[in-house]
Amino acid sequence: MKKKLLVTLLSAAMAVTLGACGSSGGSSGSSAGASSAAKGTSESASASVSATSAVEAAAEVKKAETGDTPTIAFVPKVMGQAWWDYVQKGVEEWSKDTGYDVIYKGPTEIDAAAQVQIMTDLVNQGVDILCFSPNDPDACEAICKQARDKGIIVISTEASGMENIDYDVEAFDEAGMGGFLMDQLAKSMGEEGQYITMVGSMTMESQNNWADAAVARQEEAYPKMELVADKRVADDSDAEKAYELTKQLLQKYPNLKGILGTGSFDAPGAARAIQELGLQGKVFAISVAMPSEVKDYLADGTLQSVGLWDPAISAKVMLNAGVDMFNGKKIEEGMDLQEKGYEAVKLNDKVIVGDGAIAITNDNVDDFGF
Amino acid sequence: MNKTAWKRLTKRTEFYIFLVLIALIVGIQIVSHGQLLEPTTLVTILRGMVVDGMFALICLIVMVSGGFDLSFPAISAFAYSAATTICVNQGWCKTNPLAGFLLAILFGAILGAFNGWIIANFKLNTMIVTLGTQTFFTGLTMGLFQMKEITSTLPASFRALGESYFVEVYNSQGQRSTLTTSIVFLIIMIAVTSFILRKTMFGRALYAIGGNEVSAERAGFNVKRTKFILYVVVGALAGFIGMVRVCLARQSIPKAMVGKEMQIIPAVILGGASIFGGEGSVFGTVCAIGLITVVSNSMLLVGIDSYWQNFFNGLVILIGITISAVQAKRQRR
Repeated sequence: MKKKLLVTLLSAAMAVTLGACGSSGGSSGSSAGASSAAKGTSESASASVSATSAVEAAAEVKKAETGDTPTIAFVPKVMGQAWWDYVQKGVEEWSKDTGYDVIYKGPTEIDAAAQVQIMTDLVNQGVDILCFSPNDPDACEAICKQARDKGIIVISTEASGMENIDYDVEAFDEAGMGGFLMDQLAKSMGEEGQYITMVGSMTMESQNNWADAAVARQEEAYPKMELVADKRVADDSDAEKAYELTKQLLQKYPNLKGILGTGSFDAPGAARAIQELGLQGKVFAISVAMPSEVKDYLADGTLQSVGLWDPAISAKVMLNAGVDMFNGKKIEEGMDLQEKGYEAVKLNDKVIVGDGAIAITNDNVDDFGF
Repeated sequence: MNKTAWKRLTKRTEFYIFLVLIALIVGIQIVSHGQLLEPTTLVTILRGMVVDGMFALICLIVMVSGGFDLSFPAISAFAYSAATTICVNQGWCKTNPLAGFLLAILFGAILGAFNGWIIANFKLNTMIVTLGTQTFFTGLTMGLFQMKEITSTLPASFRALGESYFVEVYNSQGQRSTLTTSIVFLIIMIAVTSFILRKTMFGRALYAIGGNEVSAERAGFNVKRTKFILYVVVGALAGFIGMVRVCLARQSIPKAMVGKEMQIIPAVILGGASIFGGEGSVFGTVCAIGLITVVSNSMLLVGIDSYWQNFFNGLVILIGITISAVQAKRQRR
């Protein structure tokens, strides 16, 4: 009796876990059940595009083989984070506007291996267009090569250095965002004083490239500014850690005047420390950040501005480019990808570059809806 | 001090951890040119110990009973995510955070009861069970309920609690910092855990079960009931601690707790708890947590870059496990 109960329980646990991971649906009854369970929850959460079950995906693949509708998958860096929730909404919107379904599925935590696994499942299911934002670009190369060998259109974002892709979409070039952040910070700092750079993690390619570009911009344009000896710190994409780091940095470098972050947790965490230490107007921080998270700091003057692009627009551009390619159109310099900032894109080899960097200040913080 | 007392003292792991902690503080203080013992740095370290310290204490009571709980971060994450989500949706906790805390404690207790029920009834290895329930609970949080990050919409009273403080301190550069009110939670928990483990029947039962389950049963302890209660209490506390972290960090991030067990459990072992049960003290545990918090908060001050943090964490695990293995060898002799 006890054993039976336990077995039932364990199977239930397995089903939920499988559903959560959205693991590839095999032929066995239990995993199919798990998939439909996942489908049920995602529908009840009125996110029909998200977490599309493997069973559903397989059905879509069949549909695609008979008609001309591409099967499209979008793999975010992680599910359930404000930023990617916003992208998910954008993808759902695009889906509604164009009538194409999109499988939106990503890892439940920032984990390169889990993300590659999801991409592998999607490739094996035979999608036509694979859009993704890699946690670790190098780790994705092998599966992207497989995908392209199968004839799948592969489009990335925030991974301009990748080889095995058709195109990478960037809202700006790396020098663009890095320089943009540095210009903003320099303005706040009066173009002089010590500063340091902060990233979410030392292995996040785009964040580190922006930070490099920001430093390059400073060396070129702001000779009175100076990068301190530690050069760069990483906050594990956690505002609490960014707060602790900022306090340590200000302890170690009493003359530190600027913190240039490129991750979305950097400025909110740094601002909290600046506020607590009573250094508003003396120490300045900037990073890429979600407007809603820095709203209070912009209002009370702890932060002057943060940099951003509209990630939902980037996602839509990726999808537009993918569909264009699917329909046999060529991606060309100066072409219109039908979103704001992408009316005449630049094309650097495989990288589609838009003009999408925006400064969020106290004046426009409410204009974006996120 | 007489000779036997000294001998007893030098045999205990806690004693050495305490010495290492002192040596480390002195060392860092010298290398960082006196920056570690600045009041602003000290309050930050104390603040860093609040959440980790309380987590370590619940790990300690489980380990004393001879168990292993890998699922406490997952329970915590579920409890605070669910509680915060409900509070935000219902518009609760604008002025008083109590409802949020009660919800988190309730959710934590329910998941803890699930752990306790399996462990007590089926007499399975606690590590295996909690390894399974850890994934299961994370599945509930991320998959079934699809809990989202809550940052700017966090209830005002949670923020207020996180921002509240006892004293303001200033460092030599005139920078201000504050000692968080939530340090009280850690102090109360240290006192209560200490009291329970040393002075109550329940505490004695935990040590007895951890020492030898069969003898404990024969000695008249109700092993099944004690274990069940233990996991319910641990679950409830995990929920509570999670809410404290939400208030301090001013954000509810469903995956912020991932991997926490691998940071806390080795520290508890380092603090003198035996992985075979029946041994461990509150003092040793608090010293060990102090040790890892001091190190992680002074990496920058002594000029060690972020990569080395992992190296140190790995080192703590290795040392902790080695100590435990040596202890086990001694016991067998």
